[in-house]
Amino acid sequence: MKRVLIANRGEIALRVLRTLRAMGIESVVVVSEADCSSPAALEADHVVEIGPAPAAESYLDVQKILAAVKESDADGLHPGYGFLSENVALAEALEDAGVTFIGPGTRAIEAMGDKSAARETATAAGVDPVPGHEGADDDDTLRTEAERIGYPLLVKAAMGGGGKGMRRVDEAAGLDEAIRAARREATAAFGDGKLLLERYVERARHVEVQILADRHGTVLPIFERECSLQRRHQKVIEECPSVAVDAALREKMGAAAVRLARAVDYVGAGTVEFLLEDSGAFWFLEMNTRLQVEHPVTECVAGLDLVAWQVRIARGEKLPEDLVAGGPRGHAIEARLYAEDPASGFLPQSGPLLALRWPEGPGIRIDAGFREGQEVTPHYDPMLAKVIASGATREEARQRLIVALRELVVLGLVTNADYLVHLLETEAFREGQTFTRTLDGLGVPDAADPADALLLAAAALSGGTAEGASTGVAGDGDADRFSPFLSVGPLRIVQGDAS
Amino acid sequence: MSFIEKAIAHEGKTITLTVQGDRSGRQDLRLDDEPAGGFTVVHEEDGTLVLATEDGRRLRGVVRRTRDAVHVAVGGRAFVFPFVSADGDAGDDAGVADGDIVAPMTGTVLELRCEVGQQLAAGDPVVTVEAMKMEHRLDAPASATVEAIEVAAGDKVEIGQLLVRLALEEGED
Repeated sequence: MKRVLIANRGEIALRVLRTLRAMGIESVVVVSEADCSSPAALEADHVVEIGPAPAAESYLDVQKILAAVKESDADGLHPGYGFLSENVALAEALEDAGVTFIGPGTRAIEAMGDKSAARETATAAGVDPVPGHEGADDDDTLRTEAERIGYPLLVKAAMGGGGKGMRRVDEAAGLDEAIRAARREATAAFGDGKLLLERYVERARHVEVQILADRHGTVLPIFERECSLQRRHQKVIEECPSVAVDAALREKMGAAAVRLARAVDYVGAGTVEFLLEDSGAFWFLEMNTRLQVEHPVTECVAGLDLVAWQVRIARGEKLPEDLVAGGPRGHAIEARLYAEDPASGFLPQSGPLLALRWPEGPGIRIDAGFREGQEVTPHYDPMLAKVIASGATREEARQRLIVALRELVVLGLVTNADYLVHLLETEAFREGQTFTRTLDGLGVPDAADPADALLLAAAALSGGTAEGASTGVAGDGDADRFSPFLSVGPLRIVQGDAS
Repeated sequence: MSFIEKAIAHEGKTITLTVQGDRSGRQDLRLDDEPAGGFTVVHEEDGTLVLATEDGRRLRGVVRRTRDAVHVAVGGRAFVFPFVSADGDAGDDAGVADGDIVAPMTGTVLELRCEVGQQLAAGDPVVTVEAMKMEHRLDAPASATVEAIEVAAGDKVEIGQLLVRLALEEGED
């Protein structure tokens, strides 16, 4: 591959571009009208405009992406995540055109794309989904199925919602009573008493296994990621490794992920998501046949570049068996920085980024897709950056991440930075006691004391320095808005007086 | 010597901020006439300010001033202090005419409740906008004639975007 088109935008387009450049491959970045001066567009070797801002008319339009491939004479395509990354039609069309799709074969995408078919494939491969029963619901069948599923379990109304017709059962003795009550409630609430059973996982964690698979039959698990901290099924903080996974469990989960990958002839980078119980039992949720947003934590701990391996695998290279033989090294935590306002129901924010400064320091990695002065538009996901900290221990990574989130500067838009620090400082997080329901019960941080901010505002408003308004903090040519006194120029000691 | 006075808003309240400087470079901040600390500017570069405060701390922050507000980032937190004009309205409405109905937040136009040329009384609905599943009805602020409609139902709009332009009747406020 000599020239690869990146069919994506934002931070992931820039991140893929950097790896391509390091590998001596030219990059083609496709942009909608809203992204013409995004960092990825400014960095790219070639840029192709593919239409208006709405994703449906640009990044999600297979025909426009294919036309851009042709126009730019690209011989490979990296789909990033989201958008068309799991789109069979695109992968097939590229294959027909002799362009390398940097991802798995269409069979794997298809097999894992349909969630209920994926569960069947997983079951056949010995990777069980969360146990449950849906179908015949006479009392005898339910009793038999309940024994198979195990306790605790939920008896739920098949038509249900909102907790009506739902009963938690902790042991077999309570089952008959729960079935009667649930059926009664379900009939009253939905006019249909049909019931189903599902295993109840109380302290569930979301733990996913990264895999790499080459075209020569090697499939390697590259450790796990702990992604239990989610809000409305959106991951907020991710880490590698998981505090809940020891070497033995890592091997077991890794082996399950490899079995599933082999069952669909998987090639490339992929992720198998599991629900992990306190007991160490784990259940298949789904497989993502692409790079994940949170892949950097794996890269930090495994010491490798997953995008580079995607490219090498697509070129037909072999994975060395001992790629991560040494086990995880240290710990990495990622926080997703969003333009959203936690104080008003996490309402997405849009507008210009008046100031943008990223933190630096040992173990800090920033994957960002915005630059200062750029507009955050409502057309796309409002993720501004991923802030990733790594350290020799989890605690070192945690502390570095907190400092990094406090150091970063975003002005012009409200972000969730303060909320992220709040999460990282909770006892639950410090102790590693985080589960998929943890964030449901956690509020947002209190409004901050404005005293220091007012001092800084006062310093800025009291006028530009005698050297002129190089700061942009004062004197935009409308100094009269402040006070006639401003024009005489306040005296300020710019250097020296370090009292 | 320098002196500035500026009204800003914080959490729905107007605060009058005054800063008085002396020849040594020391400046004193008063909020609603109460002393709120003294400081010296130690360093200033591209919006980054470092202050030495009277209680012996170094205070670092990044400040950006726009026409409407001063934005401050300090200690991992971002603050926006909108300027309050003399009549008590937060923000600077230069560039936004009195009769402009703008989107209160980023969202979708649900329904236009008026037509170009239509006469409206104060309080008549102009347009409804939906954001995050909440509906916002925007009304005419005074008697007015609909001058122009800039959006259609179903349009995605950004916060502050002009939706409908009204010509307010003279003498009304």
